[in-house]
Amino acid sequence: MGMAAVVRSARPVVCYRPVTLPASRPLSTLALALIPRAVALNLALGAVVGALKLPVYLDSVGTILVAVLAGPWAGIVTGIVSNSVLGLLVSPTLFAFIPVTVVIGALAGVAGRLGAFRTLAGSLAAGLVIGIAAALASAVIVIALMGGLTASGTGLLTIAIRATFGVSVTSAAKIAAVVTDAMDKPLSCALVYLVLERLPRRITARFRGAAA
Amino acid sequence: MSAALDRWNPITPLAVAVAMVVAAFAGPQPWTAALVLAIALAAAYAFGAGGRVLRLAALVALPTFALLVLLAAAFPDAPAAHRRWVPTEAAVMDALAIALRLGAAIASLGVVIAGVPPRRLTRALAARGLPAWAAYLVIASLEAVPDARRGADEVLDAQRCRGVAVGRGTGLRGRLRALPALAGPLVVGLVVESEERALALDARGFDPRARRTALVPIADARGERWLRAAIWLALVVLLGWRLVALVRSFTIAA
Amino acid sequence: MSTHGLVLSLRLDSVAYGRRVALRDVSLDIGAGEIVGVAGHVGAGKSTLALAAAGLLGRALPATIRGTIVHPRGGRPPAAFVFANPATQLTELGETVEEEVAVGPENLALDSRDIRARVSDALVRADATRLAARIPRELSGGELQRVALASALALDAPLLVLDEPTAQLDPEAAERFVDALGGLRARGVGVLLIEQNLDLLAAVADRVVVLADGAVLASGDPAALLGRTPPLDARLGGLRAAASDAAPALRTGAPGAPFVRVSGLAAGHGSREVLRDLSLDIARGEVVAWVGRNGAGKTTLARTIMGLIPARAGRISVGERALDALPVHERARYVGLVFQDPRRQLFSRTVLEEATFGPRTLGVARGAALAQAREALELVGLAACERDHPGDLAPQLQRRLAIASALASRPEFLILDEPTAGQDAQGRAFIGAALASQRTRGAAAVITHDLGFAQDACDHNVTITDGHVSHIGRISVREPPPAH
Repeated sequence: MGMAAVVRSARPVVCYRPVTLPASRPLSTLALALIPRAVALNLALGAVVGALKLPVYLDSVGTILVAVLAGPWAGIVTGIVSNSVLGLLVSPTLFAFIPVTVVIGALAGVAGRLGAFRTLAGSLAAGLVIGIAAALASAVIVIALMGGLTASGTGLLTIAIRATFGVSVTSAAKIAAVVTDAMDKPLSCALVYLVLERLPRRITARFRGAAA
Repeated sequence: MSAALDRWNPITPLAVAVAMVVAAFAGPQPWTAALVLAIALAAAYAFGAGGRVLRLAALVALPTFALLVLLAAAFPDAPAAHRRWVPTEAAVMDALAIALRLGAAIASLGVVIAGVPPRRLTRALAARGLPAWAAYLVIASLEAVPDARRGADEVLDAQRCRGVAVGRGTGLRGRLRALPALAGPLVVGLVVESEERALALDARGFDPRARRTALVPIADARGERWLRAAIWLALVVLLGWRLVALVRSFTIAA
Repeated sequence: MSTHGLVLSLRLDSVAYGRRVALRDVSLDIGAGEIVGVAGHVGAGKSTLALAAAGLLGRALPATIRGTIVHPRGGRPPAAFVFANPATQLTELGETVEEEVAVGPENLALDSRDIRARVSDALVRADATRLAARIPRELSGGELQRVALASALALDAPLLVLDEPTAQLDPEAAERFVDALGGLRARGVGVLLIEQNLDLLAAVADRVVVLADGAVLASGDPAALLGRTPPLDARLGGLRAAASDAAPALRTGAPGAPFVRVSGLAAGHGSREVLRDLSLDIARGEVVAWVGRNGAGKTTLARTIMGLIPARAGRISVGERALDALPVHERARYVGLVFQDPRRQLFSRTVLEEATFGPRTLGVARGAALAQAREALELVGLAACERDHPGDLAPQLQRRLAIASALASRPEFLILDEPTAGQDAQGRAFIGAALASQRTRGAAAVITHDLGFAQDACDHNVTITDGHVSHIGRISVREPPPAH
């Protein structure tokens, strides 16, 4: 027979597990339960904006939300799981872009810890930074996939360098990619800011580690 | 389709696929990539997922090829020697090699994804050491996606019943105003649901760090483990060979 | 302290969430094979007691506990739990019901054979063996709840705690669930059952504890405590036989001309026809109940009138206005529909803001919208919660908030889908009052399995069978419904 399991407290005991995740410790069950829904959110919001026919993706809102609530490490895990699941469901190409979502999760988490998501302006600024970083990371991955540097000069990077220092036609194309990400991430961060205000107090109180 | 792969431990086809991807990228170009692509497509058709895998691979490989050829033609290496807008043969071959590599990688991974249910794969990995929390994250995410889509539909219906206008005839401003009304409840609802699910996990005694067993353990025959070890070994040899060749080409150039 | 034969010995001085004290001076002992029921009004502290008894409080939720909670039989975990929402308490780790039930034993790292034995046993005890190979997503609420029970039983814990397990179930499913509970006595499992449905509680519990405002009001024999008239606590859920005290005013005078007209309606999902040639009229000032078996088409009818489901044939009009050509957001000006589980639509910072969302969206000016919202909140009894966060309200109050949100838009025709599920007597009274107020504005329809509420608050019942109206009239609570 088992021993008696006794919970005894003569003094008040405040019982909650903080959700901040140091590198070596696993996630608490609340963060653990939050991440799959954040991943689902990344995909479901795409459907919402599609129905509304708006020119943005909003496909990182879940990652950013978890990062702001539970810290950069949780954000990174969300990013990894999100693109892994996307890779399984949509196309394996998306596995290659896991570093991008990792960057998003990490930066959003850091921004959250710095208190950027306490104001709308801060959230938008964080979104801008995240957007540029994500665009750069995507560009690096695309270049690497498409040959990067090749001897006969067909790699995307060599072409791009030639183009930039030769003709300026492709600069417009590069700018276009950065622009969509520059619009999408600030909007995503603004949405996260609005949502943070509307979450029940008892939930946000459990993520005290985040400077939200 | 998956019946053929059911006899194998899911990690084995995964190992084979990873090996094929590495071979496609690291093997001598371009014929290794072409070979891998051919094998992957053949396997896909054998498992009845040929159409899907071919589509996935083509969607990546063809635009890549076209784009690279176009760009190489637009920005040639030695502009004076050739007519503009006509790509060199070397450039076309290189573009072909790059496109084949990507197509081969996509096709190899695509076969595994089509042939092995992701749950089964995750459980097999969990049996071989993947931590419980990682396995939970993948499986729960796969479950949560269709649930969230349905939740999004419910929110859409509920908000439409309160007068939120979507669809044809709604101006951009109206659609932008609808966004928080649709996205807000969805996000808040999912966070609150997370709280309920977390309680449920606790109530079921789930410990993210602890070892878990399975109702139906997935068999891992010794023969398969030897096969996988052989695959990893072959990969190491291949990579080593390529690395040596690379180093030698540098030293020769120097 | 002798805890021989007990599975739970609980002595709580206080339990508080932040500054709010939820429970004070509660003592509870549960013996092996005993079923102890807990009744109380919404907010009395029942869920807090349940979570504390199971040892889940303070692990998953932040709370300050002063006192002792002892599980003398130990166990890993010492208690199993069944929640009110059938779907969200499943772990998602199981693709089939069998796998879901196995999750608990798998967490204990048991041998595969032991897991199988426990799963089969649990399925039998929960009356869910037939469901073993099914996929959880395809199950009804009642079936899911039995799966949840099996999942809890598979843990083989000495104590089983259930928090309003029948709140979201129809009466048939609820009775079946409670029958399964009765069989647990023989196995020596101690049960703590929180319930709003006092009929069920009286039928199955050996002993009952009544909570009010965070403290124990009374404890003892179920029949004596719960059958009392006047009731021990006016706010408790009532026995079905007794009518609620605050009976809303019934319509006086002859019915007016038809206000809501539905004729020849046909609609369905995909290739499936659900509504067939359905016609009904509702007069101005009437409140009718739509009753019938699950799947008969009641919710489909409501959604078709609202425009969410396109009608394949037939006409719908409210007042003199034909709705057929209007899109959903236009129909929202004249028809209000409150879903069965409206909690997913709540997203504002305060209760008041949530209630003003409807009128504001329809273009009402801010001042007028606030007034309309306040009036609606008053009707459902949430005026005092104006500044609370909707997410912090108890689920029953959230449901009433959703009703207030619809009322605030002042629709001419209001449809409520199962509004009284899980509500206590006070809640039912408020909902009845809200319906009564709707008479002056137009008409209302209530989809319900709660025939007692239908008898008190509605003028007559419309029975829907197989997609058309099969019977109109009053059904007394004590009679069985007419054979279909």
